[in-house]
Amino acid sequence: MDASALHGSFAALRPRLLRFAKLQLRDDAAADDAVQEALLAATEKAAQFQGEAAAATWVFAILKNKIIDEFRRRNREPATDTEYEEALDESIAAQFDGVDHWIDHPAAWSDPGASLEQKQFWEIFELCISALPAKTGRVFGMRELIGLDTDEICKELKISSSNCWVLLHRARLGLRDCLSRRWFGES
Amino acid sequence: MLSCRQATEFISQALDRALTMREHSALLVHLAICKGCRATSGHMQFLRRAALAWRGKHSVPPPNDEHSHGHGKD
Repeated sequence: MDASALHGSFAALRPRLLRFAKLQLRDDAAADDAVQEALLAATEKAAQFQGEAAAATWVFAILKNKIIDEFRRRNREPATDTEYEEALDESIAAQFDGVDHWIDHPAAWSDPGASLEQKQFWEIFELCISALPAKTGRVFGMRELIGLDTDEICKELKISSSNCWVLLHRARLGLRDCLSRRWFGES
Repeated sequence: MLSCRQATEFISQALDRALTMREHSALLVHLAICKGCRATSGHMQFLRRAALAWRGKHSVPPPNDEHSHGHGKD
């Protein structure tokens, strides 16, 4: 692709890249950096792209790697968000009784598929993901938003499979509770 | 007999790995009698569906991605 066409296509892509990075990195500056680096790396490869779709795919692939790099770096730092961990502990503890049965049996959500068409649903969805503790949110993001399998996540973050499953289970219980309360209107 | 919490562990893990036959049958037995866990199974599957839709909105699936929904933007 020629440079000006590529430039235009990347400019159009930028908001999506930023949104993608922000939800996962939870830090606007870090998201900006990752997007900038991904665009720069892709610009250097401009000559190789056969059209816009190939360029976009390439930029996203680079961005995903940048996000994983940043996750790997953060994973070496001790967690500082104990209040998020406590909030998730409380959310889960409030769901089960002393013998691990439901305190209030969850009810099926009515027509959840219709929510996917609503702008406000996505705001709540992102809000609930952002409320997860950092490490739990990282593993959930790598699994569900980037689409890695658990073996890859274990390798990148140097955690065991069972640890990975525990974190994903906690993430899903937390998100289930958050969406029930904030979107699907359970008490 | 599984507790509801253990059942939700299997419901969650089934999204990440193949359950063993033993785990799978234990889960099915539990789901048959537990409405709350059946609802939770639906919730967790919806979380997967929503995450895929989110990726579709905000990302470009790699070519030949078997999980991709719909088509690219071009």
